[in-house]
Amino acid sequence: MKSLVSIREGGLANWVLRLVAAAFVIGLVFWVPTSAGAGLISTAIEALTLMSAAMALNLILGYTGQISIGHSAFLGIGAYTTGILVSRWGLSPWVTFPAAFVIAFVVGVIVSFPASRIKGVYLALVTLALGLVFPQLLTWKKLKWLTGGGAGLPNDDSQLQTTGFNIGRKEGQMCTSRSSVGTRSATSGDPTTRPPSGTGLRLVLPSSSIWCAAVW
Amino acid sequence: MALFFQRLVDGLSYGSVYALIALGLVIVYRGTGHLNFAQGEMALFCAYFVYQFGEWGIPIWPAMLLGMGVGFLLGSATEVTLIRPISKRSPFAVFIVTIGLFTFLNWLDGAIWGNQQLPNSGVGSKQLKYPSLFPNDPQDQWLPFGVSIRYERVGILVLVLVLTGLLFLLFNKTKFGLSMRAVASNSESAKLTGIRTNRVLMMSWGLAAAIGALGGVVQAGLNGNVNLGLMFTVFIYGSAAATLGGFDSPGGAVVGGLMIGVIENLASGYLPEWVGQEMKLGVAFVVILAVLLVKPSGLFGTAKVERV
Repeated sequence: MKSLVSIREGGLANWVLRLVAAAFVIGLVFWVPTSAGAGLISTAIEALTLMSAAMALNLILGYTGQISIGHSAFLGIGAYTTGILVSRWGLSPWVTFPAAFVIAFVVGVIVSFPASRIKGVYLALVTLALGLVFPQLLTWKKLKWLTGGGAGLPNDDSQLQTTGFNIGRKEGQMCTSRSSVGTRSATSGDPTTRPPSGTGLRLVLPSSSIWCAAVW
Repeated sequence: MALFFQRLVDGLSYGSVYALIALGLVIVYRGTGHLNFAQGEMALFCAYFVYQFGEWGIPIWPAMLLGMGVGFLLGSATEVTLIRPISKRSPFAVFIVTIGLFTFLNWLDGAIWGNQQLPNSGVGSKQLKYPSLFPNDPQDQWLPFGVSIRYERVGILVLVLVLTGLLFLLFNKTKFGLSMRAVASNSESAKLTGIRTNRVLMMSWGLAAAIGALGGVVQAGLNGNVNLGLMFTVFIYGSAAATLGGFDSPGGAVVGGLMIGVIENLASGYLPEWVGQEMKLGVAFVVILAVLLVKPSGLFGTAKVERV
């Protein structure tokens, strides 16, 4: 069947469409934080967070064929790195993002060694177990000095409000509303028990890419 | 020494539940080579049903049998409607479906029975606590040499051992068991000899879910109530048990289950600082990881040789 409209790849129409799409996305990125209502903003943040998780999973499952159900652990590592650095060492959240990046990266490399030896559905099992053990690890007595145990870390995101977009506060709210992505929260519904900055969640991608690299 | 035996006995009774979940996993795995991630949630679904039967005034033993019947229907329906059509495509697809079923069943439980733990006087439950299969009032125990041996725990252990014996007879002494073993070892050849492999697989899934249902009821009974998160950790312990015993060995699943129960209980008892109650799950995780890295076939499983 011949299609009604055909657009040649790399042709003028193709480029126009690409530019329109890019402009739309960029416009949306500016419009949502500045003009949208709080409900839409938190929805958008949630969507973006899930997107980053989905990209990480895409790298793992799509490019290497390895199943990871315990990816929430990596999200949690990112969130807690930022949380610990901000609340215990008083660093600016912006500085902690690369740190979260690096730490999740390193943990990803370490995990890749056993993961590359375990096949298919068994890996799924191990990662599922990892995803369930991780929250227990966070509330573990021996790590309480670091993670704050069941009480979690204080949720101080005031420093993130340095930009006009006020992303920081929304991120903070996002994190209090979403327990499952970050740590599958072993803790209660109190906002202060949640990992303080959801922004840290963004930073897990490299861990999965390095996981891929190690597998190859 | 008394304390040691106390922990041993307690560990064995926890392990009985893990053994039941592991048995369900192994039966499915032998038949189809799939790991049923929804095993724990299927059991939970049946445990909720048994609560409901109790609300309708049915005593626990018949309610348990009905619950296992629900499990059988759920398991075989799952195989026929969800697993069979996609299993030819790819094992990944089956994996995704069982994960989806895991989430779906948990949502369904919440949608039907709500998020609170049951029985719950707040929602008008007639039962005070989740019915136990064996007497479990505080005085229902023997106290030889200062070890508290509760009737309930011994009863569960015996129940699991009896069930294992029955399964052994089923697998080794009946025609159905023979066809199950034939399908497990080579389903193509089994089909050629006239075995209805589809029916065998359907029955295997049903059987697995029914055994899991018993596990769910026992676990809820030990716990005193049923709630949405009940089977998460139990499923991990159960898979640790199946991994330890070997994924294709029903006997291994039972031994593995009892071992996991004892190991975690001894570890948390003797290392309260390091393991305690919180890191019991960590013990199961370490066992899974260690077995898969050192001896992937488990203690009693057969190492798989693949023809390339």
